[in-house]
Amino acid sequence: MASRGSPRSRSVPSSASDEELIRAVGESLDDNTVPQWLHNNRQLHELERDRVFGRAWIFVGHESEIPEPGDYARRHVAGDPYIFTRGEDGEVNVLFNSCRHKGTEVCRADQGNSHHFRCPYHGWTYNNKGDLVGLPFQHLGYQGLDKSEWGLIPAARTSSVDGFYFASLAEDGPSLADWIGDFRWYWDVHMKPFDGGWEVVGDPHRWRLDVDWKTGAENFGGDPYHTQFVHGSVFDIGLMGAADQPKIDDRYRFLRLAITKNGQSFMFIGPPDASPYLGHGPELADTENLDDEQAEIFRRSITHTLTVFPDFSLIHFAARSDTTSEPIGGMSARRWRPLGPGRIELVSWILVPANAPDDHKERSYQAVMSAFAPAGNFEQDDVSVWPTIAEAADTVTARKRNAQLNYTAGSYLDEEEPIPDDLDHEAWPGEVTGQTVSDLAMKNIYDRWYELMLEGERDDG
Amino acid sequence: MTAETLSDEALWNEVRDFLYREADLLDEKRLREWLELVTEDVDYRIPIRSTRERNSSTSEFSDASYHMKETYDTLEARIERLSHQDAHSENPPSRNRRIVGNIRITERDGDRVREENNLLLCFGTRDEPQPLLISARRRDDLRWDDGQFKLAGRLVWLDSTVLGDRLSVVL
Repeated sequence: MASRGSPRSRSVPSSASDEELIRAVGESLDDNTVPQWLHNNRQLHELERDRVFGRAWIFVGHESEIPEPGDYARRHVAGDPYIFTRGEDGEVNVLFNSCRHKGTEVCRADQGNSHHFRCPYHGWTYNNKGDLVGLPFQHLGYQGLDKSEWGLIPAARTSSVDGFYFASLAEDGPSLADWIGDFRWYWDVHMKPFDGGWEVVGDPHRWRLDVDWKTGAENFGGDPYHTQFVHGSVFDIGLMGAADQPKIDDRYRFLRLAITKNGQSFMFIGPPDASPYLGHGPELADTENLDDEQAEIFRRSITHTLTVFPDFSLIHFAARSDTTSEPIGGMSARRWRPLGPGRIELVSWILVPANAPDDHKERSYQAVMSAFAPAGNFEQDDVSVWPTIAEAADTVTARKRNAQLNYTAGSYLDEEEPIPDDLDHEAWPGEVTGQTVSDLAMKNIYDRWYELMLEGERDDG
Repeated sequence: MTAETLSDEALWNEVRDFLYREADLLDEKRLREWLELVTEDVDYRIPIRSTRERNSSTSEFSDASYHMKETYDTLEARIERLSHQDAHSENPPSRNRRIVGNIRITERDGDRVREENNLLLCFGTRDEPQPLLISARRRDDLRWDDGQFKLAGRLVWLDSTVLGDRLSVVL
């Protein structure tokens, strides 16, 4: 039996090679643990930038943020500055925000509308497809220049699902559809019932926190265990959609966690005795496009969370901002955008159903904002406990003792007890559990991380 | 007595005293007492700020997205939650110091006053020797009610587009 503080064999030397570090993570994952130092490690963070973020599909923005030709937003893809913009032809472009002349940023505002981006340094001008359309005094020094070779560098690949635009910095690899794969079945459960789709309200919230991106990604991948503890203050005063306590040995035990290939993770909570339709009600939502299992999930759901690996998550839930209003459905999508090891900028967007009446949209916005945002009643507490994880990770203790964090929940039984509801989750895509105390979704983030780090090692070596 | 009968100087003193008293209550985490200084029809907003071109037709301050967009009931819910033992964002409590300055009364009409002021909130947590500084300009609508001013409206114009931490306090 492992003694406290020394659960694994050897310490990880401070001079460990990249390969040794990655192998050590793999060994831990075999035991359903994660090395503590992984949550704040500069060496691996540098590798992640290429092997994970340089290959993955990264969320850039939603089509509703740039509805008109010329609309643009200044965003980041894997830490790199990009412009998210709609061209004159109506197509969405994701363009490296750096002048081809001397590298200056050409789009300097967070959002706006412009048919051209003019570099402030020497006046080189690009349209919003990224074509170089003009440079001052070309006839005096650039007589032979072929402008078509000097446009803004587009993201290697851009693609979208239901108006959510993702970009990849890698020219090859799985398409976005393949990256999402059969996770689409879970994504559709709460996206498809809304004719007209979703729209972002206003500008995203942006804030910086001393926490690693993997902490946020794993939590939203599915962590039902934390809700009544970290968020106990919200439930105790009756502020949650369902006014009773989220006891996971009681009503809230009717949940599922699902993981599919490529690191995608999903959680839904839905006691079968009510029909909240995620707070939207049956009038606004149309489940005709869903299959029977999907429709049943959606009918009873009060909360969905998901993570599309690596750093995109969303929560779709029935929320309210005071203790007397009716709960209302809404969505917070976010990126745990890495700034460095153990540090992120959390960018979050609030979305409402595009076809809802205006006052419904406003109430939905306010309810989500009150819960998930820098001042959110739920989110405040999540981010107050997370930074100490990053602190304890970048320590001599974590490395010398090769301290392991526990991801064993749900792994002790050979067979699960059946859940007394009518869902047939054995037939769902991927791997699904009904165990309420389970690290199935949280550990999935690391399993996928490990896969990509090895793939990258093969490709680099 | 109504606010109308106050001389300019007396009015100014009342406004200043209100702002100082309110800041002290918030600094001392006496949130329920602060709520007693707020009217039941209060409109309290902190819009999201983003970087825009100088000649942009859209304001830097969003008219659709907010950090807080509060009524009396939602403020009460926030305060009740923050007062709970398990409100981890404020347990251990943050250390606050609000410096209020550049107070100017812009409108005066019967029992109503509109004023603007600058706020510098020093927000200290854990072992950080330097608190996070949050600065903003605030536009307040005050209403005289039973011998004192109360806050009927507040619009907070933040000086940052990206926040440095959670917002577990009222500005």
